[in-house]
Amino acid sequence: MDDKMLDRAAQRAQQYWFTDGIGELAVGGVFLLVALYFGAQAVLPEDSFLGSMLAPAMLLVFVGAGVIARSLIRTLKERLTYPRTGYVAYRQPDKKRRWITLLFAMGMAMLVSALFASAPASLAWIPAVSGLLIGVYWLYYGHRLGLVRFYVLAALSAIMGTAITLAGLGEARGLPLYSGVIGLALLVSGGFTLRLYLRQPPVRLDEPGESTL
Amino acid sequence: MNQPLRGLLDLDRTIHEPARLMIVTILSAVESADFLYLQRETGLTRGNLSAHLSKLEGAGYIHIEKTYRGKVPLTLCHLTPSGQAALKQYRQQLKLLEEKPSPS
Repeated sequence: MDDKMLDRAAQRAQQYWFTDGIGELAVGGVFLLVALYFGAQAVLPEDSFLGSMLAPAMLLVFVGAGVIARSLIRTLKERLTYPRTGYVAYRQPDKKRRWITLLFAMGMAMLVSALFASAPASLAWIPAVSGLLIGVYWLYYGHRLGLVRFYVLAALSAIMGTAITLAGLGEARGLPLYSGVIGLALLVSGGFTLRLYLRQPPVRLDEPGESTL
Repeated sequence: MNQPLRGLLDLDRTIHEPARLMIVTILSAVESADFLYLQRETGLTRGNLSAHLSKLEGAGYIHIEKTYRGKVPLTLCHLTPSGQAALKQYRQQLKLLEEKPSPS
């Protein structure tokens, strides 16, 4: 067994989290919810009751969707994946890495906010900026885990975001469209992956005459 | 025996065995993995996997924890710091052996 084979075996263990497509299905659901939220913001008049409720509800929608998705992923994996093909726990990132991620995210958010505040016309670029940032994130994961479908999602995100901006749809109509398309793409990717996963035979549980530990 | 080949004798035999090398490599990439997952990834029978895990546990390279996830019994395997160090050393030795030119 050479070094590359060992690296590949370790990478396979890290890929396992994405083997069933459940994560993509849940995140796809979150994107669709976000698309609905931005869609409602674009359609509802600001002075209507529902329209005025949307801005304060933003944090609730985003955090709530994240919490529900997380819980859904855990429940589905416990019922579907772990009994079929086993359980794997992953290392939590250490404090230093968490701080670097947090500072990077805050820095990016401040940079983008400053850009949009200094030039309101640049708000139309929100779909392109979102598409590129999310695309880079998926590209990184695709490379780290060796998952080709993440490259496809990364390309779709960057192309969709840029195309929506260049088409002049603006952020009000562009963001729901971008979120909706990416949400659907994630549902398709996750659904296809789940279908392939369920077609694989589960690990044999019992073999007479042999003992476990 | 020439010098590079002699290096083979210094390899950690507990880890050098292919099935155990695979188990230790998988565990090095995660926090822990259960018996079922290791069985699926290695393709070993339950009996074989049990024997290899016992050997690795005996060497202090892995820690085996019997627990429950809900009502389902779970055999979780973790790589210990000494297992992590042994794998690192093994891979370094293997790299050195590959790099050393054989005397002609």
